[in-house]
Amino acid sequence: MTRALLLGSALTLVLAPAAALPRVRSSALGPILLVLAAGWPVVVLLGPAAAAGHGRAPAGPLSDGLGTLELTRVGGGLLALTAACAWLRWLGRRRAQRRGRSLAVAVAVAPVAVLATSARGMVPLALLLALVPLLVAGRWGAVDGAGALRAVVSRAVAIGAIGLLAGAALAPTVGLTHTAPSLVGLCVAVAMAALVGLLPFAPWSVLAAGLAPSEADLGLTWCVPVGLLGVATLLAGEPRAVAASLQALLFGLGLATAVVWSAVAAGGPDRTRVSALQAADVGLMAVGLASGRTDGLLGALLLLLLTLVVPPALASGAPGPARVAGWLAAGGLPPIGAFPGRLLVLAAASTVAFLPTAVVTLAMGGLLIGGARGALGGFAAASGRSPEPGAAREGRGTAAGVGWLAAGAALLAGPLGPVLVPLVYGVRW
Amino acid sequence: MSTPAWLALAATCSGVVALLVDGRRGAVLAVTVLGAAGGGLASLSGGLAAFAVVLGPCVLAAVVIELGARGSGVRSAALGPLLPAPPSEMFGSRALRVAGGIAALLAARWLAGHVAAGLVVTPVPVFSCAFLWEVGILRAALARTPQEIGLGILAAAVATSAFLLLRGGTEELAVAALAVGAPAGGLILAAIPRRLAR
Repeated sequence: MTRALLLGSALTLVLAPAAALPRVRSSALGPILLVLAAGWPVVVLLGPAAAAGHGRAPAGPLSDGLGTLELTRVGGGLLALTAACAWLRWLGRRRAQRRGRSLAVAVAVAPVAVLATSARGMVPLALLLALVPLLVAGRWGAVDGAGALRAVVSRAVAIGAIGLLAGAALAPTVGLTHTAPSLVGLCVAVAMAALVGLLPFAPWSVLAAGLAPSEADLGLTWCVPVGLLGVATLLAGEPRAVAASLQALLFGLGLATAVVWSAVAAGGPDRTRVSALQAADVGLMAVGLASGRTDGLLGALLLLLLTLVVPPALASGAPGPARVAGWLAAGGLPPIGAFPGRLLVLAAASTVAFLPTAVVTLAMGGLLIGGARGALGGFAAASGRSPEPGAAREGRGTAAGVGWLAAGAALLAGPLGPVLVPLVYGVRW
Repeated sequence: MSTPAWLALAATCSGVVALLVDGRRGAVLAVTVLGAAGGGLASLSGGLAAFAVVLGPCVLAAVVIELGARGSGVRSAALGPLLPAPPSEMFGSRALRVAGGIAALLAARWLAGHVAAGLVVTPVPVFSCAFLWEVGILRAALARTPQEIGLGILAAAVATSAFLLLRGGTEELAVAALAVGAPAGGLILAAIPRRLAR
């Protein structure tokens, strides 16, 4: 497996630049080379996984808590990371899209988010977690226009907040009855699914992009990281009975989310591709966290880094090549971008059973194809064949610099993950 | 009937009001009734302080909503569209809420048998809290306006606060205040007229 991955990565490093050559990319060979460069891991990964899965019993239930990992500075790391990424997005945007009030809300959410991820104990954690989407939804409520869309988004966020409130109230009763742990796990799992955008609440994270971009950022930069890190904290600290039901529900919802949105990313319209890629990655993050394995958690944290870094590289102000690099990173072109994180999640899923392994592999394949299609669109825009939004402003000003910076970070974040993740979150194992 | 049973009945009735009320005074009525009934439920274990912690934010929110609606022509405090649903719709939002409410009563009855509230031995107050959570979910899921979503969250927050106080008594006052204060604060912020908020 390792040898196949190394060979495939070397193949990608040759094929992807070749596909970018001007003569090649303008011919029919360019897309073929790019799809080959992006699509081989599906074959390499699915084959051995299928072979390993047949004739072998599932490895058993999900492991306890977070494996052997300990997160020592989640709150501080989250604050530093999201502040840096939010600033990058702010700079990479056109002046008309820079909304002061959404930035003010983002700053107001920061202390609550840090408190929530640093809190110990179910009740304060759940109450503070509920406060984050309420603040964000409050801002969305004040945005003009897009009423129906806003209603869908606000409803999902409201259900998440209510689930957390109920979970917070029921948590202290866990030891009193046999049903209470499952009820608490159910409440929190539904709340987290609504908060981070898993199925059946997934549409909100994608629809939020239909609001002003700065408003969608609020959800992505705060709700998703805080929700996922809140899950990690809960899994590490809660009684086994609660963690077990929470893990099982999130694992299933994460798998469903990943496979559905990866299919949308691969075959859906261009305007929803970025959001679909991110929604599928959120599903994979939930799978990684819920697997309870060390590599799953590392993969989830790595994907979280990517989810925050990639959008600035795909913003309208980014120059063409930076946008192409951003697409390749988001698609998980081996060995760069999101690929290492997804591979770690796959490794964690493969220890549970064959079916999750196959589903994660399929999702990875869909995401690769989606990234390749986005990159092809970026090539077309760079060569002037497709009037992509913002193409006229390419290569100029602060936005271009931010685009290049974000693209570089997105490409390197995956390979540098073993260094970055412990540095940001204070991971010990 | 004992005092807990009466208070639980009042809380359940407040849930029915919060679930079904519409119109211009709907938000004020629902918020006030929820606060009073939730506070009464909480006072079973927490006494007068618990009653004040739950009722206070709700009354403040109701006052600001009313004053905001009077002082502003921009934002209406009306709960839901004032015009009735068109005749082509067989089931309007309120009909769905009624159907959901009946299912919620059955679900709350089941929940009350499987959750214990610590200090309170009878499951009746737990039934009321569970019903209020479900009212919150129904109101938010079938909402047509931001005010309805806010009211749904407040109903769940009142239930959370009352349940925490029922279980832990006055030790949980701070957490209960946070639970009910944050959604009430959101309703207050939303009710401030836009020209004053600038």
